[in-house]
Amino acid sequence: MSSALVLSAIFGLLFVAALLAVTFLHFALEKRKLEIQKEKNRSARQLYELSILKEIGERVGYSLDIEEILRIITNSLRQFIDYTAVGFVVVYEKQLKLNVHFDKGASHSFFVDMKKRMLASMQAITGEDYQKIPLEESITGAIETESGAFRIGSFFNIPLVIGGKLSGVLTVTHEKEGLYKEEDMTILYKITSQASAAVERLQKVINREQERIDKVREEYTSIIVHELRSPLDGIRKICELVVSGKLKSAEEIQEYVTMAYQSSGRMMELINDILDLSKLQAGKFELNKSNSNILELLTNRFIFYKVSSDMAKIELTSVTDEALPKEMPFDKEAVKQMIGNLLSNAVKFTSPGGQIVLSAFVIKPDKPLPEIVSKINMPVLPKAQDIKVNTSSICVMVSDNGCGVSERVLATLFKNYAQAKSGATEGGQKGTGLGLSIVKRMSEAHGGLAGAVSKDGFGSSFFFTLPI
Amino acid sequence: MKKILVIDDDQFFAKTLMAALPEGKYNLASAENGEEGLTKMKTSKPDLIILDILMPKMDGPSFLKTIKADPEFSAIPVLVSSNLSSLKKVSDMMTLGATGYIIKSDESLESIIQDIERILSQTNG
Repeated sequence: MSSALVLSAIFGLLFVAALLAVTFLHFALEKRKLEIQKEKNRSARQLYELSILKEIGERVGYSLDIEEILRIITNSLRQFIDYTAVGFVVVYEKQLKLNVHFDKGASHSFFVDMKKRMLASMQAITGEDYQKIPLEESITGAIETESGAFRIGSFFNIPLVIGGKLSGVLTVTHEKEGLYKEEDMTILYKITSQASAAVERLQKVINREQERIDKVREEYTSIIVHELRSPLDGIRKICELVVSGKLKSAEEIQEYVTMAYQSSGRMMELINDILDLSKLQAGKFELNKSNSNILELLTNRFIFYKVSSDMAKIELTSVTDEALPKEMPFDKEAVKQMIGNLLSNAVKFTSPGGQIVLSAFVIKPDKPLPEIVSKINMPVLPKAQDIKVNTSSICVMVSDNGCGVSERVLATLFKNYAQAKSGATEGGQKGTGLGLSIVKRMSEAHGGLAGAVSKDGFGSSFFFTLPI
Repeated sequence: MKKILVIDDDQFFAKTLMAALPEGKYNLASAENGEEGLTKMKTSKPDLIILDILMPKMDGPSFLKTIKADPEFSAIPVLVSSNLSSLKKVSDMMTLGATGYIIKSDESLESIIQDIERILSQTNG
């Protein structure tokens, strides 16, 4: 009997133990389930955060549009937060832009209240009365239904601060009370602050770049003004001299009038260059190609510049390739100007006693330069890798043993703004750089290229190509 | 006779100024750039230098720095004359030790000559 009692007591204990174990396991499992759910939520948030930050990053990459960025944020909010309406206000110089999206139906008074809260939250930050600023409203979604929500139960505001200035506010509202937790706000706060930081960085880069461009443009303008003023001032002073009666003989007067004539020519040339370049820059330059003889044109320019090089006591010679085509299509006036620009530069930057060689030869893709180039007796000549063409072309080159330029200046020579800066005011070189810009753009318009090789103190070779 | 050295790549300016200066009072030499100016100064020391800013090879500021560092030439008055109207350039040149500054297109030959005579009479004491 007693043994039966002991046995039942043991079974009873075993049962209680098993019950306890099952209960414990059940609760442990439930707890784990909750943890897993929490973990899931957390990673969902993180994923959301990452994806929206990536999207913002991509969009901000090419946009500074704050409205657009706020729209991206609000559009994607749905994935992790429940709301009746979400909206933002963006502050512009003289107006505010309000954008509200209703996810659920709401009354007009809900909207009015939301707007009031948004403006008040901004006023709380800056102290400014935003009610006085004109406001442009834009409402989307389920709006103003009679059965919809009438009053705001929960809401939170995230201010958008860019460069230390309040640029707007983002607001989330719900008809139910006590809905939004701190972590909802934190994630949105994180996203908006990262977005504003991205905008801020981009704005800084843009401002810096704009300042640099303004500065270069200002310097460029002052150089152009200088170059226009100089010959005009020369003409004026010559007139003053002639009028003063200080010039005694007719020969003397003629000499000075000739000088005035030359100055006016220089001015005209510069004005034409400025006009050409602005046409080229605006893409309004039209090539007028016709089959022409390049050798004839080279000879024409050679004879023209022989006069000024002789006057400057510089020896000008020419070398031409027998392989040059008799006829090829190009804009005769443009190429005439290009050759002229290279030659007049060479004359300007070569000292008396120096030499200039005008050459023209045929080059082919990936082939060494023709032998004729190696026969040019000049200190600085290009190698095959300096003139890379895609198709058989002719190359017109002007080489000199003048002052040359440093590598740093060379890199900027064909950019008109940059050259005005580095060439004319920093390195002591004089010139607007317009001539080379024109050569570059005109050769590019022909499908060719322009370039130069130079060694400071030894000389340079400037060249352009035209596809045959 | 006072010696004036005009360093200006605009050779017409030097020539026009020479013709406008009172005859027999000044001896005027000219150079096209700072480098040539330095060479000319070594053979004949001028009483006044009229210096342009933008020139090839050696520009005005480099030239001014060079002569101000040379005790033999540092006392020679330098009148900067250019068509650059940038205030920054003016103040840079004055800081480097220029005596005066004229913007060519704002002045007539007569007023430039007056400046020259004024500076030369001051340096005479």
